Amino acid sequence: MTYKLLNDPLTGEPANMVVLDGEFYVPFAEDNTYYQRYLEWLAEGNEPLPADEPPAAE
Amino acid sequence: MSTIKVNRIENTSTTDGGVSIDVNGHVTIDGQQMPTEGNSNLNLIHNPHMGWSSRGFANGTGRKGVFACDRWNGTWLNQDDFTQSRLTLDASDDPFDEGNRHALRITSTGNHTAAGDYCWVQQGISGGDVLNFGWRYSNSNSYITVSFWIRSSVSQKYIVTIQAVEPAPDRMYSFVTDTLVAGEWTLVTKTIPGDPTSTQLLRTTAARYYLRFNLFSGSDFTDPSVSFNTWYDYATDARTPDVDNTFASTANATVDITGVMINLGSLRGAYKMMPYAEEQQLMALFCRNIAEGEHYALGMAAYYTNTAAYMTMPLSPRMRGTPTAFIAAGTNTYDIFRSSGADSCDSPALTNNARPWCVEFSFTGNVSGTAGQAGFVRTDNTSCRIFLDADIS
Repeated sequence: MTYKLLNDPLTGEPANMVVLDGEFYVPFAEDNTYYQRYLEWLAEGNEPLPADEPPAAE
Repeated sequence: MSTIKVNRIENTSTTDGGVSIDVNGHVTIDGQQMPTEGNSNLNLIHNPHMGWSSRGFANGTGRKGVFACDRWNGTWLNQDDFTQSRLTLDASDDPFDEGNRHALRITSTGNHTAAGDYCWVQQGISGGDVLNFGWRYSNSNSYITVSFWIRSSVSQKYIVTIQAVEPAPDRMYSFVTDTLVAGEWTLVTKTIPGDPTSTQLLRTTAARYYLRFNLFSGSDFTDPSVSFNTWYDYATDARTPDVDNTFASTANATVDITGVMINLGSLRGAYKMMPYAEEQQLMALFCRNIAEGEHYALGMAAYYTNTAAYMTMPLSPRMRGTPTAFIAAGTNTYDIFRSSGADSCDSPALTNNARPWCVEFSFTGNVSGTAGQAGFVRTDNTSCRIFLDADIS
C-alpha cells in the first residue's frame, strides 16, 4: 500500500488529497472512509510519498 | 377465553401449505415465515443477493479495494493475496429459489497465512439505518438474526463477527459456523441479543456496525481466550478467537456467500421486495460508475490554460459522503473534442474540490488546447475505468 501526496494543478501547492496505490484519489474529507483509513495508517507511523514537483510555468 | 393447542393446521385433503406454529410460537403460513417483531421482514444488509456490481469490473476481476459486489468490501493485506469476483448462480444452487442469482466469491492463492495476514469480507451499517430498524440494541432481550448462505470448497469452520463502533473500545460479537461440508451450500442462522453497554446511536450515515466474515485472520488479530456468542471489548490483537486456515492455505480454494440478512427478531425473514429503482438509488449513494471502456460520454470540460482542462460533474442525487475516485491510469486514453478536433490526453485526476453533490476532474497530461475553449469529453480506450466510491464498508 502506497499513499502519495498530490499537488493542486492550478496552484502547484499541496492539495488536500492523496493517491492510494496510484489509482484511488482520496480527498481529505472526514466522511470519506478511505481518508479515515489513511489517518489510521499515518497514526501507525507511516508517511506518504511526496508530491511530484509542479511543472514549470508556461 | 379458550386456547387451541396445535402445532399445525392443514386442509383435510393436502399437506401442502397450511399454518405451522413452532415451539417458540413463531408462525409460518404456506411456507412463509411471519414477522416475529414489528419490522422483521426488513433487512439491514444492502445488496444481500449480490445482484449489484457497479464498479465496472466484470465478474472475476474485482480485487482489493474494488468491490466485486456493491457494499461488500473484500479486504486483505496485499493486493493479490486473495481475489474477489461475482458468481452467477443457477437452479442447482440451493440459494437460487430465494431469489439469489449471484454470490460473492473469494478465492485464495494459498500462501497467505502469516501472523499479519487476513481475509475479511465486511459491510458497514449506518447508525441511521439501525435507528430506523427497531432493534433495541442495548437491551439483551431484544434480538437480531444474522443469516446467510455459504459454500466453501474446503471443509472448515468460519467465524462471523458483528463489530459495534463505540467510544473506545468498540464492542464485538463473534460466532462460528459448523464445519462446512466442502462444496455444499449451508444456510447459517444466528440470533444475537442487544449489548447492554451500547451507547446511544446517532442518526448518522457513518458506519455504526460492521458485519464481517473472517475467512482468515492471522495470529496478530486473534486470541484463543476470546469467547464466542457474547459481546466483548475490541482489541486489535484479540478481535476474534483463532480462525481455521484451511481456506487461506489452499491454492484456488473458494468461499461463496449470498443471501445475507440481518432481521429483527429471532428468525431469518423473507426478502422484502425492493423495486429496482429504489435499490438503484440506494446503491448510488455508495458507488457511482462513471466509465468502463471506450466511447463513454463524461461531460463538458473547459481549458483553464493551454495544457490544463477541468471538468465538473454534478452528482444527482448526492452521494452518501465525499467520494474517493478510482481512475485507471492511462496515456492518451481520453478525448476532449474542441474546435473541430480531438485533443487526446491522459487519464484525469480528481481534484480536492470533490463534494458529495459534485466532483471535479483535472486533465493535465498531454493536453493541448487553448485557454478559454470548451470541449466535450469521452473515453477513448477500453482500459478506461472511473468510479466514485463513498462506501462505509
